[in-house]
Amino acid sequence: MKSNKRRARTGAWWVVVLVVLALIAAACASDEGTTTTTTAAPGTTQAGDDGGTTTTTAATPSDEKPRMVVALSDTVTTVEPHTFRSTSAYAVTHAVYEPLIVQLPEAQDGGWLLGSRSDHVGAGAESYDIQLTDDGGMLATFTLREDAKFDDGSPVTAEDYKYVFQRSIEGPGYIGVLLPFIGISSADQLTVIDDYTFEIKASVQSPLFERFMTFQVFGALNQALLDANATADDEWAFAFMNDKSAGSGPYFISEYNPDTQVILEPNPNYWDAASVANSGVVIRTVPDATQRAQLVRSGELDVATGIPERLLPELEADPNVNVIEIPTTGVHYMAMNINLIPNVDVRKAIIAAVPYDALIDQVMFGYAAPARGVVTSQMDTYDPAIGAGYATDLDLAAQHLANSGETDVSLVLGVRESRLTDQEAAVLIQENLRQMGIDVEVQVLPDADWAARASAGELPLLIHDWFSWGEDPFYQMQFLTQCGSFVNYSQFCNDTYDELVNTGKFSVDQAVRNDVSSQAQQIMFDNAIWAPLWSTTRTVATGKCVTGLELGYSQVPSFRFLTKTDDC
Amino acid sequence: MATVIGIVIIVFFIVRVLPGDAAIVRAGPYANEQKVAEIRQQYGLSDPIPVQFRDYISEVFTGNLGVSIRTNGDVTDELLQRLPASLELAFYAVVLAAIIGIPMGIIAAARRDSWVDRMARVFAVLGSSMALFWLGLLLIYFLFFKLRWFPGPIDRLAIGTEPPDSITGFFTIDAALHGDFGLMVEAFRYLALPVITLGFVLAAPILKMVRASMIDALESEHVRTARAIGVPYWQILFRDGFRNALLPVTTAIGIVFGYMLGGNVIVEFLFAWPGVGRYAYTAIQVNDLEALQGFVIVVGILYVGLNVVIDLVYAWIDPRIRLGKKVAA
Repeated sequence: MKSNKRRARTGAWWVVVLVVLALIAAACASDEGTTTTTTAAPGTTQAGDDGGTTTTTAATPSDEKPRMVVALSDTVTTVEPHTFRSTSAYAVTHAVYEPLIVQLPEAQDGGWLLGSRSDHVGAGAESYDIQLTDDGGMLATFTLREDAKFDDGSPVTAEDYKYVFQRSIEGPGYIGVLLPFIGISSADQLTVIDDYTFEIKASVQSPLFERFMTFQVFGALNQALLDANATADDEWAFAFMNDKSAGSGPYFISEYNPDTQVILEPNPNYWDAASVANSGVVIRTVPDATQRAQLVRSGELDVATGIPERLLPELEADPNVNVIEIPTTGVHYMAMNINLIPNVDVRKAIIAAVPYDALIDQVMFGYAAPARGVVTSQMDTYDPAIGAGYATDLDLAAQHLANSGETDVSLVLGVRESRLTDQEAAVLIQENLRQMGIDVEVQVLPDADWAARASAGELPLLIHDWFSWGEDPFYQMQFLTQCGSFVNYSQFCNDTYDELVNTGKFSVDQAVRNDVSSQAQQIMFDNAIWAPLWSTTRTVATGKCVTGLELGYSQVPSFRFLTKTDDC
Repeated sequence: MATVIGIVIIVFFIVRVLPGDAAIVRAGPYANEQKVAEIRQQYGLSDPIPVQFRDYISEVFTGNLGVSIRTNGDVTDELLQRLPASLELAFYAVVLAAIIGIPMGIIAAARRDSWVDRMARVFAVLGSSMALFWLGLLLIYFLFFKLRWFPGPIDRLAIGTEPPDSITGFFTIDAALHGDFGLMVEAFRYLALPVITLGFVLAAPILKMVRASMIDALESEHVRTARAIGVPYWQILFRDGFRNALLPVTTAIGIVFGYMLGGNVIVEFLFAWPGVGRYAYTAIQVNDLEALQGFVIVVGILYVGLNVVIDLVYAWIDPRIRLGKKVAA
């Protein structure tokens, strides 16, 4: 009995000693020689039992092309291409699904690429033609590449592109909400002329039509695969596509672990496979932004997004890191709910009291530009004469407040728990408004609670941000400020304003667009529904030797040309 | 079993008290009321609470924890996929905490009020008062970023490393079982910083408990008698002192381990550790009720299981408990 106990005790001590030794060995062991690289070789697409391509492949990477490691600002939630998803998830689907056309990539200083705002080139389509029609619509004809193939090797045909648009219109995803913007609302407007010719007849003349065609959500889907995995309850195979790829773009998903890692392997059947500059991309989730910054500095990450602005000066000073800065049309704003703050003079006082410059300097550390309105200072049709009115003027604020006749103004400002910059901005705004005699209670709310309360119109003040794919002013005005929009958090409704926005979004005449946009901007300013805080500068940190990162209308990074050199 | 049933019932109502609407988050900014309503219906969020409760209960007891509204994935699968990472982290953190806390507690009690005891008490105060995230940040900054002794906080293994075929889910053990000691060392390297972070902080309560229990034991009548009759000091220390202190120490370790099962959210977040704590944190942010319920249930069941194990350990440590059982039978 005693000897058994002794043996057990001795065994326990051995476990302890081994664990200590293992930890010491862990600390002392070299990084070299302990990693087993496993990647998929070009040409080895592996299908899962259900026909999808999620199985991890094991093969050898290209000898010359590097494997890139990327950490984005949030987790990949789903890779279903027509479901609303996180930014990281959009980056994944952007790599997998090829639209008919894409923005022409233009080289920038520092070795990265920016999609042209004016020039588009064929992608899934070899050529295309868009004509205005006499009935006030548009006719777009796309001639598809005959050598385009899905990752399983099957050819991409016009039926597959028709299927994508039809799925967008009739499926349960969110894309159908966007299509009326370019005059598409029915599958009857989609015609397959032959296997490689596809036609879209839009009911309106939208200057955004061509831009919309570049969006990843209209990338070809392998209809045969989806049909095979559709069910009676899920005829568009949304459940199947939750974690699968079925595209014809430069990559396919070889490993999918939501919240942890997604691996993109080059699509061996991609029509322009030679242009893919890397042997695959690993998208890692690194939830803490400070650690993302340190990992890119140490070289463990090639690309990192979502780095807090306060860390960017330090990164810029690091010789091992490049920081890409791209002014965007995205806007950060404080919405004022006109139902809860009905006095327009109070709202004007708030607008004049917001410390716009301090926000850019102290919260954004200079990585932002003045927004100046819902049509931001970086945006087409922006009217600087109106935008200049969004400036800090405490005397004017006091005057507006006096005109309002209100005393003891007390308001709640709701900000999201996940947005540290919003919380910091709220504190600066709170301080300036306090000087005006307006008492602001900053409420940091869980994101879901914030969303529910904002949608229900329960927050008098809230900070929100927005980026419009396509970067169109009327698209931005429609979603953020038009009557009935889901994210019109000011609850602003003005018939004249809505009419102007509708006129602008369906006009291809730039003079008309400029004119109606100015009128709309003036109405918005007069009604004082927003304090436009800043216009976002997108920043991406890359390793010093990393080149070829591409950003376009969506600001979602594209990895096709991403690579790194040893001799930089 | 009654405890588990209690957990299952209580968690359902608790998560529904959380403010916010997951359907709105899921729908995204391009949605409209109709889309949000469709999502609510799809995930059963528009059903009356009693109906939701009935569906929930019938599914839970068949092992189905529902579908995450955030990822559309099966919650049971997602939790089971992440659980080994959390358990491995918790296990080694508790082992390290015990390795630090128990010997320090014994020495501090044996050399009461000496400089060793004072150092141990300082350590205990530091460990109790130090914020986990701050210690984690310090360790990452110095041991990874500056000195490069340990790998960066990026996951359980280096990028490109294939994990071992799963047997236990613990990468260190599975790698060893497959004879891949290089991989085992790499797994330990990635474990090291989060384990040290947690182990340092968790060693404090164990140290305090061991010290206090040992002092009580060493001041007892029978120990004084043993000393008087000339029993060797080391024998008194370990056979009479430590053995009597084992019960409260086991309790302390059990509590610490239980805390670790659900409470290492910060460390998992900081070190990009793919465990259930991080999963729960993300679920809370977007009101992912099913995921949150699943997390609480799984951790609750583990906690109950842990308590059973502790009871068995009690019986093993203290023969009186075993004898008591026999008498009762």
